[in-house]
Amino acid sequence: MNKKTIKHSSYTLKPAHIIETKYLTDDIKYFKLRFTDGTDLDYTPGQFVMVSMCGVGEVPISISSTPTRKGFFELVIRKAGKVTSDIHSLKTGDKIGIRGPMGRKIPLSTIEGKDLIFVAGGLGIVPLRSFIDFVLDNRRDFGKVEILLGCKTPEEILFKDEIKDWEETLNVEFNCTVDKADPKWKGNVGLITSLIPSIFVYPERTYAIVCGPPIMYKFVIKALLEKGIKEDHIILSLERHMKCGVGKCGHCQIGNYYCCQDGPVFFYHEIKNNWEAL
Amino acid sequence: MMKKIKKEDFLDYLKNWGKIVEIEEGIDVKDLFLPKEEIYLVFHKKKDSVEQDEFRNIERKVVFNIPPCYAKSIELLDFNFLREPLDSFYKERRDSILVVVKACRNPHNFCFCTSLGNSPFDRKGDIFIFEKDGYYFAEPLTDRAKEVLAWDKYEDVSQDEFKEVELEKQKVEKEIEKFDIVNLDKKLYSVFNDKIWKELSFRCVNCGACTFHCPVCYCFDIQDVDRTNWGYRERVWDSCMFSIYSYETSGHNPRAERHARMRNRIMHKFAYYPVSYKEYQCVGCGKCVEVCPTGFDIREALLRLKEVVNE
Repeated sequence: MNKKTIKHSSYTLKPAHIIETKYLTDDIKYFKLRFTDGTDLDYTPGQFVMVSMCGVGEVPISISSTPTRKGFFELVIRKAGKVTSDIHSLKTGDKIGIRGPMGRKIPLSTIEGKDLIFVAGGLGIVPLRSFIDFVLDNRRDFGKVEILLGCKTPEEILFKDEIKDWEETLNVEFNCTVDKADPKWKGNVGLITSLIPSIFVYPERTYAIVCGPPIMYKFVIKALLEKGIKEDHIILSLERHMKCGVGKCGHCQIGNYYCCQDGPVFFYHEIKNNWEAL
Repeated sequence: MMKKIKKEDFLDYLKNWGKIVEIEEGIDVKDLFLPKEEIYLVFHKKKDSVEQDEFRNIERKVVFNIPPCYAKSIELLDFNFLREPLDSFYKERRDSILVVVKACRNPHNFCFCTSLGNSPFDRKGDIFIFEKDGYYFAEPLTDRAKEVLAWDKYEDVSQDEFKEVELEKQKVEKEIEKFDIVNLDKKLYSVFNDKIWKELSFRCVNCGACTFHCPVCYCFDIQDVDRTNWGYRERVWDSCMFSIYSYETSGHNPRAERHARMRNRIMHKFAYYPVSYKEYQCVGCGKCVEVCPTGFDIREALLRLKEVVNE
């Protein structure tokens, strides 16, 4: 008597099959996934999923594929802690639990018809690839597209095949720089901010989408503002420790925001007065 | 309207509704709505596959005798857990617990509820009661409280008895030390980068006792426990006073310094929460003052902050 059973949707794991894996570098692995029930993940670029290894834990991982390509979704995971090490040991055909998509769906209509600058630092290219592929799949809806990529060393550059495509595509400008070159490297050497001054922008119609390690934002934002890009035209993806993913547990709190619900993608003007954010 | 009901009768009605849990105050109140440990996923490993079952068994309970400040803390928890996306674990527990609030007549030295605009006789929870000579003066405050018993059958308290409650209220309110922190919320933003936070956090040892005992602090962690061929996932209490709380695997920690964590705790209670929900995330129960091993007093801290923002 007086007892009942409820389903808890926001914490329920949805099983997905791994349909393809490959190592992009020594410690970064690519996973292509499909839900076992055949449904599609309903997401917008910039969102993330919680990937679950039962008995080990759950980690937030950004989605690297574009929603315009159906039937699968892609994650790129660096081996960093307990859970990600365990995920690395999975093979094609293995099953994994997914929660999500989490995070806010940013209104893509605001960047439609605009010029775009993508600024990626290191692993930041992973979530930005979702945006970039989305834009390339709807190329006619957008203006000029510029991709700036900064990495520590040439070996750490991810998606080398795709980057080759971006370099060769005429309607995309691609620039890459590394902090530390090796003898074979023929490109730029220097920090990502060194690429920004030389690009040409129309400030009123340009949106910058930035993702990278936390230390990068302050300098990139300064360089972009110097270019005349408006504060509400800079889109950032923030990184925080996350646990529940649904804005309850408090770990990802930044002032009034919960990064997992109200972000992780923010417009710069929303968080510029939030000293802890950047 | 307040009704006069015999003690035994009233308790019988409550027993019919659910199991009575008598709590005066303290950590156990939060534990009822947000358990210290809550297993929500059990999985069994069978050769390469993981099966999960989610199970819940919720029993109806009556939390009895808590003071109004603790009932208020539950209302404040609602803001976080009942907003979209709704936290179904919290919701089902909230729905299955009837809150019976007793007028607070013995405030202790740490209380400061009146400074935050609350009163020890606030009508909070589902039923408000005032004890007098083997009777309860009880007032139903919510729809579900109205269904607990046939309220119409009982007579109203007389005018004299009601006056007595009011007089007692004034007496108790006077016993509680009152200070003024009006409009601190917006002004706190202006001292975000002030050195005051280092001063306030100087004695803090980051033990997290204040946040665990706080009836409104709700942060939790999710942890997995692995046994040989089975395991479970649970929600456990966490505290923003720990440096590992915001520490990311990448090595980035937005609140690595002690003063940043102290600032976050106070700002969350007195600046962020009021801006989001128009209420302080503090009920003035003084539990954090009572349990702090280093004697950190949030009342002193608020007065000190008030001085700084007015400088």
